[in-house]
Amino acid sequence: MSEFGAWHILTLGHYLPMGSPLHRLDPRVRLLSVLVLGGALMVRGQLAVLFLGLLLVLLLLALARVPLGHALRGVRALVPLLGVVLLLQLLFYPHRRALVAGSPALWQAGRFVVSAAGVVALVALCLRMVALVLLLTLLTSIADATDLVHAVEGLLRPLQGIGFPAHELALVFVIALRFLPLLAREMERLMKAQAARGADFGHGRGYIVQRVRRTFPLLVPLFVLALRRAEELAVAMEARGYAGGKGRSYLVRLRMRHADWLALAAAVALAVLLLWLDLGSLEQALFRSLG
Amino acid sequence: MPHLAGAAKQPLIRVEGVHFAYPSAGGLAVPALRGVDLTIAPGEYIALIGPNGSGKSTLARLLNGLLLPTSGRIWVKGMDTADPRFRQAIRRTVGMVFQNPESQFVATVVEEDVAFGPENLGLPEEELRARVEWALQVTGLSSLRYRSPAHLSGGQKQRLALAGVLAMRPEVLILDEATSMLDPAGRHEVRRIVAQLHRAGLAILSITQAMEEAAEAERVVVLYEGRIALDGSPSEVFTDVGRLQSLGLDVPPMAHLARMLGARVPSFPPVVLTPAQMVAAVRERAGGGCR
Amino acid sequence: MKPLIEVHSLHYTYLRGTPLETVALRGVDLVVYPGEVVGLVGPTGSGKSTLLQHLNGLLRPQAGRVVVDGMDLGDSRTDLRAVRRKVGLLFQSPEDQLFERYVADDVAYGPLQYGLPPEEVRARVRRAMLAVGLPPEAYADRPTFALSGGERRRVALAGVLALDPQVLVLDEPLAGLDPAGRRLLASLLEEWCAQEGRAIVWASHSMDEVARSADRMYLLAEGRVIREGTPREIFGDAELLLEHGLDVPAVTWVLRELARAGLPVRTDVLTLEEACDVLEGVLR
Repeated sequence: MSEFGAWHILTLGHYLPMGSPLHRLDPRVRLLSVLVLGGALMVRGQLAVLFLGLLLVLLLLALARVPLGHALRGVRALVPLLGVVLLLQLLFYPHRRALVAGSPALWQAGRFVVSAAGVVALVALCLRMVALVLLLTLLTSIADATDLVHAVEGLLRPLQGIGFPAHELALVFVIALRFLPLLAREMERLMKAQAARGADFGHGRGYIVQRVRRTFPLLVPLFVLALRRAEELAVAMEARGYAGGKGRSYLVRLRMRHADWLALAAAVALAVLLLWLDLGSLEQALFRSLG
Repeated sequence: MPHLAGAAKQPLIRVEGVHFAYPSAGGLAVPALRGVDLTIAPGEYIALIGPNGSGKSTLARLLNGLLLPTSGRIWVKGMDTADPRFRQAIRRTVGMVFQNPESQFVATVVEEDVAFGPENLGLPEEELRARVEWALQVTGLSSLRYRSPAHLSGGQKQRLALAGVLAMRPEVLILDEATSMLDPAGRHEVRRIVAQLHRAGLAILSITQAMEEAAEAERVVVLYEGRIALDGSPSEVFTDVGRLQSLGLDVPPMAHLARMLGARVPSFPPVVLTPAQMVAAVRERAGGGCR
Repeated sequence: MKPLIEVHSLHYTYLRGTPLETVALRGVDLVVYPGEVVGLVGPTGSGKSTLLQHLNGLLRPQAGRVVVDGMDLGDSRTDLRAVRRKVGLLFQSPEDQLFERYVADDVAYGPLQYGLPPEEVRARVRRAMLAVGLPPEAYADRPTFALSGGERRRVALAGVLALDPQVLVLDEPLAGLDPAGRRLLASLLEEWCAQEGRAIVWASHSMDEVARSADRMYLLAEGRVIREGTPREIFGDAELLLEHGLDVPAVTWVLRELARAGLPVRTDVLTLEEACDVLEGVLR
């Protein structure tokens, strides 16, 4: 691929119109379910629970007919970051305190010790990150930009009654989404235009100030362009009678069907289960076997 | 030369003694319009021409209340643009399509973008649907209704902008250099639809730099340094070549050719503005050999 | 005469190997000699833009050859930055790419990127600004964003001319300018090209524009060169142009309609003067 090629991939997500049962759910349910499950995964720390969580996400991916290879591609991109995080985790984990609390030591080098508890926490973290990335991939595979917009808008709309600027917020979201491909294309064009004048974007030499200055030929025009487009759009919107969310009607009406309620209930139930499950005894057994 | 046809009917838009100055950063206001009087009758097709900086876009934005005159008044169907109570009604009556195809669409789906205007008016759902259908049909976009606007061609994007405006059922359509950023195919698409709309009774105000386009209107208004310099039929305006050139404008190429021919062939009519008129004029006078 | 640019059988596909792949060029041949203005005309989607980006190495050929002043752009050893000094490319709406606060600084960006010494940079900026009709005394310290669109476009052009290229590649250089602006820029470009050893590749979908300025033209459609020749030769075939969604100049259209109506007129006419002569013959 050329030095500039990557930018057209910057559109939101990798939506795959598979037509699975998950695809046909109300967009609000798709979004809420992922948020709720993601929340549960972020809160828990137990290895066994996170392992179950990961299995659950894999199951959902299968239900959504997302090919495993496609899903894992997102994880593969994560590997370098994962490596760094895990290394930091290993170094900064309070191993000594864990030893005092009863965890066996696994390895020692001078004053530095690695406890079993530390390694377990490491693996748990790993599982959590993978599960969350897969969950995000699931969301973007079953919901495209428009679905997400409808979901956000639909969820916030009831709040309009109490004076919350739901429509305005949703509009901010829509407009940001629809400008993404435009700005990505512009960025590519700018890189090419400056490269045509001899700019060399390849190497990260020089002091931080120099390196920042080197991005000006891209950022300044992009910013100016984005602001200009925003102003033009604002004028066009006003010309079409936009006056905020009050008194507006809507073409798209989301209606929850039985299947949607069931799916939402299932998602909430699973999230609650993940939050409630205590498999601490399994971890203790694991330590004992390692010790 | 004031245009008299249609004066018997109530004018759609009346501009009286309008001055407008842009507030400037240094505190000195920059005058854009210096005393403009104009009426637009229902169903009239007017071309507004003038050099850059003459105030054309400013005048357009005053007609739908996007800008308010510094002095003078503008009435749209009897409603004063300065009165905030009439804002929505005026924006419904006076529709505007702008120059840049990229900066007019709001939504991520074509049909939802068309609905944006009527939604702002708070119309009930069936009415919304009906208007969206009709607007998509008139602009030939029905088969593209579920596409993302970002993936449309330039001409299609401008047709979408038109659809979005038409869905509000305006009585006047203002085109602010709406075809200047399009390729020839796109220009044809848009001009064809505009001609169709005019035949159906819509008043059109077309701001253009292309004299060939201006030649197709019923009336040409020339703006120069914030004032109306000429106002008449295309034949009247475009035969005043000396005056036009002193204003920094040009005549349609066919008018040039006609003058050149008129200098060599005495009976050749001085008033030929469009290629079709030229063909007709030559055929009429060419005599033998003509089918 | 040795060509400045040679393109042989160029193929290019975007996003090759992915489900979104699009073939942009299907075997294009093109040659540019010193001293000429080569027009490139084609509807949107014909591959014009893709072809232009191959001429200064922004895109590398996937199949076929692109040779610039003896340098083969398909060879991985070729220094592309050296190529970009010989071939200056100006994109559409180049005024959007300006970023420096003051005009002279933006024009100096190119030469500075190539590490030229300050006095050399200053001299080049001067020459470039004069070449685009923006005298340095008046414009060097003006804020870039305070200029009009037409002036900013000329600043962008100066930025490319400051690298002293042999070939200028222009994508829709006159689009969006008012008639006076178009005339000015067109004459500046003609003046520049008149210098020794220079050439211009001018891409546009406005036939009128290209007809007026080009010595030779390539008609591109769907990634292929459909026709090559002088503007007169290509205009003689109005059917071909219309078939590919291109505009025919008004005079050409008029004469074609008259020819179809049976009048004895030539249709390979480019200017109003020529049309006048032809029509006079028929009207007397």
